[in-house]
Amino acid sequence: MRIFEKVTEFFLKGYKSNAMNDIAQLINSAADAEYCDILLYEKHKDQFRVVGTSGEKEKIGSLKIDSKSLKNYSHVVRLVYSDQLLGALILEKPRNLNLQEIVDELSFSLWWVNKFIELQNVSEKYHSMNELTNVFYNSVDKEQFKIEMVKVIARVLNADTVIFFERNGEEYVFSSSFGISKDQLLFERVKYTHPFFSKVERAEGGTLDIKSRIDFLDISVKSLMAIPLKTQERIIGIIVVLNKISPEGYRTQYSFDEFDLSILHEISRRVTLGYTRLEYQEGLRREVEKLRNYTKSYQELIQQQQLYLKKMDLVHSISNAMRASYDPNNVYKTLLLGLTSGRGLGFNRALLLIKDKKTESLVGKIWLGPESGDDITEIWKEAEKRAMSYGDFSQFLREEALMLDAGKGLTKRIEGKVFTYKEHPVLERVVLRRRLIHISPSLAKSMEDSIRDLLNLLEVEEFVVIPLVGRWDTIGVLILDNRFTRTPILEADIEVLRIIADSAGLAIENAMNYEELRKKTESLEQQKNMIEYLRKFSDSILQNLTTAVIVIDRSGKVIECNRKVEQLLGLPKERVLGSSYTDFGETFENIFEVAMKVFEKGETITLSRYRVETSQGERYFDTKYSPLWDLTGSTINGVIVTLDDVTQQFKFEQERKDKEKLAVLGEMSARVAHELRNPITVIGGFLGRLKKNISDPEAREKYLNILSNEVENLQNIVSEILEFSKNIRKLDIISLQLNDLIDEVIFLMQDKANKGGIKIENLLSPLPEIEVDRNRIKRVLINLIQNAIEATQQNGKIIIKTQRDNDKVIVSIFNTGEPISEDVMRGIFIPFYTTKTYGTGLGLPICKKIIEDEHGGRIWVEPKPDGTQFSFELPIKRGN
Amino acid sequence: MKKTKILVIDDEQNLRLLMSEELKDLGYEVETASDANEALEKFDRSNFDLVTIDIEMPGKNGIELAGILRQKYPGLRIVLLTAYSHYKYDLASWAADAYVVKSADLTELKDTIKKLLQM
Repeated sequence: MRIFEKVTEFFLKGYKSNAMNDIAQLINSAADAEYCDILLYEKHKDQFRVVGTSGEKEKIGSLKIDSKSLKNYSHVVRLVYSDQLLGALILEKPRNLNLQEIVDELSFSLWWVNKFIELQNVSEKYHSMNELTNVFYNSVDKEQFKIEMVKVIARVLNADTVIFFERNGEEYVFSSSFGISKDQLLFERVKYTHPFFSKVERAEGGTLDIKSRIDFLDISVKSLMAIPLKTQERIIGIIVVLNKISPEGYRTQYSFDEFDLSILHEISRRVTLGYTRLEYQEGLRREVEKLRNYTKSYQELIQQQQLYLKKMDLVHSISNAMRASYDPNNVYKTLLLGLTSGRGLGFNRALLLIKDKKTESLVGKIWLGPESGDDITEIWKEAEKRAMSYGDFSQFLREEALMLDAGKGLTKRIEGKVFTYKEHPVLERVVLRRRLIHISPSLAKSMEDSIRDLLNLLEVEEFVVIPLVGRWDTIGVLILDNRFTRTPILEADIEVLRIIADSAGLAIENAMNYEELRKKTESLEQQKNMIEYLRKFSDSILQNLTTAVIVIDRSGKVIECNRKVEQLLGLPKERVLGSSYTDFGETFENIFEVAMKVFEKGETITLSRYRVETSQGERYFDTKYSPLWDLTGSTINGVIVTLDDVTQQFKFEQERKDKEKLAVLGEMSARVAHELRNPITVIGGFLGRLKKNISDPEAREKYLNILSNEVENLQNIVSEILEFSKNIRKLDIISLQLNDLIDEVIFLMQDKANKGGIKIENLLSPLPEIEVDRNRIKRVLINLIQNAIEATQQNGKIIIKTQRDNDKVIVSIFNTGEPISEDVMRGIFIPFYTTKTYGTGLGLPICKKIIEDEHGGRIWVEPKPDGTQFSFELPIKRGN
Repeated sequence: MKKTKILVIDDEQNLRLLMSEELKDLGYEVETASDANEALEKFDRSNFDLVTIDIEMPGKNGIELAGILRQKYPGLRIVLLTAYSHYKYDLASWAADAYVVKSADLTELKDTIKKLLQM
C-alpha cells in the first residue's frame, strides 16, 4: 500500500515530491540493481518520461524516451494494467528479477490514480458545466452573458485565455474575453473569410491545435481550441480557448486534449442554447416591450380619440347653440364662449374679426378672455361653476351668450379696429386661401418682423388663426391663444378647430343672412304698411272730400271718381267708372268737355261759379281741370276734374250782397240827403238872393249861373243815385275786342290828360274777344281813367295794361298819384265814400256794380310803391 | 265900433259864396276858407268872433276843427253846419255853441248867429 500512497502523492504534488524516487529506490533495492528509473507513458506523444529514479536526479521530468528507443535498454519492465500501458521501469544490471508483485502494485496504482484523476476531471468539468448552466440562467442579458460565458469557459477548461468573437454580418467582431483585454488584440474585427475563422466555422466539433500560430494575438500558443457557436440558421460567433493552465501535480498531458474539446463542444452547445435563449428572451422582451408600447400608444390613441370625441361633442354643442340664435351678435358670443369656456375647448382668449367686403379688411368685433393674468383662476372657477350648473352645455352657451356683455374688457382694445389682410403674411392666407394657420413659438420667432402687429396685439408666442368660412366666402377670422396658461396648442385641437371653423362660418353666415332678410322683410313690411296706409289715407280723403273728384282719360273714359261724384251723378261708382264723360247728360257733358282741352294745352283750367241744373235743382260749382301726368312727367294720362259745390256759398254770397245792398241803401239815404241838401241849400239860398237883388243885372246873371250849375249838379246826383239803386238792367251783350275799346276811351280822355301834363301809356297784350255790354264797360273805363287823371299830379303818368289769364282778361290802370290810405281804400267802392270835392261819390261803386254784378268779373284797388293801381278782370266767355 | 268878424268854412264854393253874401248883408265882416287848414291859417293872421264849420269836409272834418278852435280860442263862437240831422244832439253841447242843419231857408242860421253874437 505504500506504493499506492506514493503514486497518489506524486500525482497531487508533481516533481517536487520525492514519492516516485522513493518507489524507484524501493524497486532498485528489491531488484538489487545499479539504478532504477520509473517512466510514465504519455500516450498523446507516444513517449515515456522519467518521473522518478534511484540514480541521477537530473533526468527526472526531462528525460523522454520513445517506445522504440526503450528497446535499447537491457532490462525494461512494462507497467500494464487492464491492457493499458501505463509506463515502464528501466533497471540497470538487476540481480533479482522477481519483482512481479511490486510491479503489479505499481501498475495498479498508476492505473487507478490516472483513472481517479480522469474521473475527478470529468466530474469537475461537469460540475463546471452545471455552473455554466447557472450562469446562463442567471444572466439577464446577452452582454452579461457574454462576459460570464468566457469566464466560465476559462475556469471549466482551465484555460489561460478565452475570446469570443461575434459574427456581425460578414465580419467577426471581438465581443468578450477572459485573460486578456481588448487592447491586446491586433485587430478587433475580421472578415469571415479569414483562414482561421473560416476553418473554425466549418469545424462542427471544433478544432484542437497544439503549438499553432494565430495572427490576431501576439502570444505563444501552447494549445488552442476553437469552436463555432451555431444554430440551425446561423453562426453566432466563435469561441477561441488558449493555453491550458497546468495543475500542481503530475499530468500525463498539459495541453488541451480531445476531452477538453469535447467539453468545449458541449459548452458551445449550451452557450448557443443559452445565447439563443437570451436572444429569444431579449426578442421576447422587445416584443413584450413593443407590445407594451403598442398597448400604451393604443391607450393613448384611445385617450386621444376619447378627447377628440369629447371635443367633437363640444363642437356639436357649440354648433347647436350657434344655430339656435339668429342674431349675429349672439352667434359670435356663443362661439367665443364655447371656445374659451373651461367646459368647452378651454382656450384662454378668443378674438373675432369680421371681414368688411367694401374695405377688404378685417374689423375687430369681440375679444373674449381675461384682461390680465391676475385672478384669472378665480374668474375661471366662477365661470366653471356656472357652466357646470347646466346639464346641457349648449343650453349654457345660449343663456350665457345672452347675458354676456361682450363690449367690455378686451373687446374695447379691438372694437372697430381695422386689420388689413391684403399682403399680410398670415391674414391674407387665412382670408383668401381659407387656411387655418397655427403660429407655433418657433414659427412666431422666424416670422417675428412680418407679424409684428399680431404679436404686439396678442403678446403671445403661440396662437391659431382660423378662417370662418361661409358658403361662398370667408366671413371673418378667429384668433385663439393660451396667453395665461401657456398650454401648447395640439394637433387634435387644430383638427377640432377646423371643423368648428366651418360650422361657425355657416352659422354666422346664416345669422347674418337672417338678419339681413329680417331687416329687408321688416322694411318691406313697413313699406307695405305705409303704402297701404297712404292708399287708405288718400282713398279716404278722396272718398270723403266734399269736392267731387273724377278722372277722365284721353279717350274720355272715367277711370276714377269719388263718393261725391256718385251723389252728384246719382249713379253708383261701378256705373260711373269706364263710362264716357258724354254718358251723364248734356249738362255734365259740357262740364267734362273742358277736360279734353287740358290734354291739348297741358295746363290747369279753372272755372268759377259754374252753374249746373241738376235733379236737385240749380247748383254752382267751382271747377278745376288738372292734368294727371305720368311718373316721368312727360305724358298726360288723364285729367283730374274737381267740382266744388259752392251752391251754398254762392247763395250766401248772394244773400250777403243783398243785405249789403240794403245796408248800403240805409247809409245811402243819409248820404243822399247830405248830397242833396248841399245843392238844395245853395239853390234855396241863391233863389232868395236872386229875389232880393233881382234888379241888379250883374247879380242876377251871377245867381242864375250858379243856380243852373247847381240844378245840373243835382240832376246828376239824382240820376246816379237812381242808376245805382236800380236792379241789374238788361245788358246789350256783344263780342268785342277790349283793347280797341280802351284805345277809344284813351282818345276821349287825352284832352283832359294833356291839360294836367299827364302822359297815358298803354301796354296792351293781344286779347281774345270778350262778351260784354260795350257801353257799360266803356263807362267803367272812362270812370277809372278820369279818376286816375284827377289823382295824378302835374307831369304824372298813367299806365294802362291788359293781359289774358286763362279764361279771363285783366285790365289795370296805374297812376303815379299820391298813394291812398288803407282806410280810404277799404271804403273806396262804397257809395258816397268819395273824398274828392267833385263828383257824386258814386263813380267807383257804379264801376263795381258793372264789373262784378253785371259781368261776373272782379274789381279791386292795390297800392303800388309809386302810385295806385285799379284793376278789373272779366271772364272771356259769359256764364249763364 | 269895430265890426264883428265871421269865418265861413265850407268845401262847397257856392255855399261859401251864399253864406258870406247873406252875412255881409247883416253887417258882419266875413272871410271864407275851403278846409280846416286854410281856416287855421286865417286864424293865425286875424281874430274872428264866430266861425261856421261844415262838418263834412275833406281832410280834417268839421268836428275835429271845432275841437281845435275851442281849445285855442275859448271865447270864439262856433256854429257847426251839417246836411245831416242826427249829429245835432250828440256834438253841439261840447264842441260847438250851435248846430245848424243846412236848409234852403237860411233864417235859422242867421238867427242863431245873431243870438250868439249878442251874448
